[in-house]
Amino acid sequence: MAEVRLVGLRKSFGRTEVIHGIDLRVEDGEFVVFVGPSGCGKSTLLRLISGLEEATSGEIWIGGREVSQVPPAKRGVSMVFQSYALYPHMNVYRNIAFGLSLAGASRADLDARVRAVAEKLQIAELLERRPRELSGGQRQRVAIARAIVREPQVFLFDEPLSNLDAGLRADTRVEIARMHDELRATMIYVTHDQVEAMTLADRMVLLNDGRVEQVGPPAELYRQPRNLFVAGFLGSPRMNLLEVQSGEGGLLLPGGGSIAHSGELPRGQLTLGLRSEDLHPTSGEGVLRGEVTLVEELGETRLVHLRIGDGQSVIFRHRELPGPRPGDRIALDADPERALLFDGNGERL
Amino acid sequence: MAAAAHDSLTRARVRTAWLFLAPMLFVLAIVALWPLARTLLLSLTDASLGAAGTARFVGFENYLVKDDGAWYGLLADPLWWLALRNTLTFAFVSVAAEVVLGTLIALILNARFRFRGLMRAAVLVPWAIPTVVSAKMWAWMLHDQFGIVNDLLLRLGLIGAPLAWLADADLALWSVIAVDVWKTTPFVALLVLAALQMLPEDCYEAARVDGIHPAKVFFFVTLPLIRPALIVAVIFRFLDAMRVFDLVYVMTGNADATLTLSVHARQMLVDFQDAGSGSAASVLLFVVIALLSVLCLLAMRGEVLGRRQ
Ligand SMILES: Nc1ncnc2c1ncn2[C@@H]1O[C@H](COP(=O)(O)OP(=O)(O)O)[C@@H](O)[C@H]1O
Ligand SMILES: [Mg+2]
Repeated sequence: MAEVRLVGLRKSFGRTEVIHGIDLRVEDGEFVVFVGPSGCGKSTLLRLISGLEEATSGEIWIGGREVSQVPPAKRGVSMVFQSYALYPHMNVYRNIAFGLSLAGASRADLDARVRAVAEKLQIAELLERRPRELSGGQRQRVAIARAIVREPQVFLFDEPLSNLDAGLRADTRVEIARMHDELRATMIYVTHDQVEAMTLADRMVLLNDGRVEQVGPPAELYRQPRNLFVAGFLGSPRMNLLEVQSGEGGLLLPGGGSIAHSGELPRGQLTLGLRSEDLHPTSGEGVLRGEVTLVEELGETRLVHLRIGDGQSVIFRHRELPGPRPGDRIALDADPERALLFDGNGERL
Repeated sequence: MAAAAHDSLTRARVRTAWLFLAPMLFVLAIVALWPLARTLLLSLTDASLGAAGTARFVGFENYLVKDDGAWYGLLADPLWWLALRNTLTFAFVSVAAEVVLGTLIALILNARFRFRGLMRAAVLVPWAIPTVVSAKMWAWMLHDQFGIVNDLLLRLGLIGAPLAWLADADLALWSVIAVDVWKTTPFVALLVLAALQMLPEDCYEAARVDGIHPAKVFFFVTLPLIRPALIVAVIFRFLDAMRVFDLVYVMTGNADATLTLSVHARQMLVDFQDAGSGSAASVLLFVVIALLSVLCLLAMRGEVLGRRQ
């Protein structure tokens, strides 16, 4: 078991820098998820930690050892690839056992280890099969088994669930979480799927264009995003962002409503962020008023699109029955506690 | 009723298939089947190029006949057996060397380095030169008095006196094999390179992270995965090498040391004007290759051809 520390880590491909100086500390036994839009450098960062890519500058510490010049095999990491990277011509048993060296261990020992891991991942009956005779979920388990059997200090996962269908993805997610509880190993997990990130992570690292935007527990990133990028990336539907004017004693909303605000605020135009679940229909005046343009039925709730004038619109989550219909006029109250304010540079106030 | 309709549909399809195949079967019949049949017939006669029209049917006398307690015919001729041995030696050694060297070169060309594209093109040059041209070129380079090979080796002090690469009975076959290897390795290298480029890159990254020794990766991952391509290369090259003619004939003529089955057949037919025995030699070559092909196919069954999906 080991902690992982990145110090001023940079990576360029040719003349293009794709990782712009990353500092990060992953605690021993922690489950950290790198999340961010496609192309932001998640895989590259993971490959730098594994040693598959060489850093242009900066330091990588694993378990108190600086490893940026150490070959991948000696870093004590195991990696699970998005494509599973199973050897197509070997059966499951050989796939799992291939990475184990005989050094110091007896053949019977290795055999016992392979079978124990296969048992744990419920693939013991599949040991004789080739990868092409397995389903996606089974291949995924074999890939994880191969990573576990080496008993690494750190597990690295690169979008391991993205080739699975939705149901299987949810199941496997739960299993990975359980596996982490059981092994207590340090895990670094890359995904572009925020649901996966939020559900699995002890802490999330939100990356954007080769930089860290924010690091913290999922709830913190969701409730207290540091800037507009984080606010907009997390949450579905996306956070409602409204142009508001700050003035004496409060904020002036589009359509004439206002929200009281205690504390100092810069004067002028600000951006107000309200999540869909923090807006509630009211029979009173409300702070936002508008006309329903679209209702998206989700089953237990529905998303209602409301045009509030000035060409702006908001989406709120409606729970009660019956739901509104397009054309209805609705007033909304906002939870002032939950409202987020961003300045002209997109930083949260 | 439905079955009947299905049957007639199948029959119509089969008819269409034969229709499409007919032109090719016709062409094959006149360019392959007819000459083959003629050769087979000629081999059963005492036809001679000098005296056309006087051929007499002699049965299997050209192949093997017992007369006055002694055996005659090709199969009793030590020269034919020598040619068979030379041909097999040539085929086995050259194909083995070409596959090993070709794989090595393919591995190098598959690595990332500068000027890789240029190197890939350069490797193909020996393959692109017409065989007769490269045979003549090498015959000059291997010339015992004026050849550059002897000159170089002498200057480097590796040999004390010039060697007769093509005239010396102990060296000639090996010289011819070396030139064939030089000429044909690129073909194997290209086949293997194509296979290497299809390999799953992520498996190699997984092996790197797992710390598997490169030699182990080569023997347990790369080699099994390029096996089908290697087998195709071996079959192609082997059947080709069994028929070798131009290279040998240009470099060493009819010399016993390098006499192959094809050269031997030509000698019978053209030099000795013996159409009967020459045809018999050709038929025997055909039989040998056919036998080896069947053996190859049996050994590789399920491996390349009927590979189950
Ligand atoms: N081997 C490479 N050569 C050049 N550019 C690369 C290479 N690998 C990744 N990149 C670039 O680096 C950036 C980050 O890529 P990647 O880490 O794969 O993103 P992510 O995994 O977050 O989708 C992308 O712009 C990509 O084009
Ligand atoms: Mg990626």
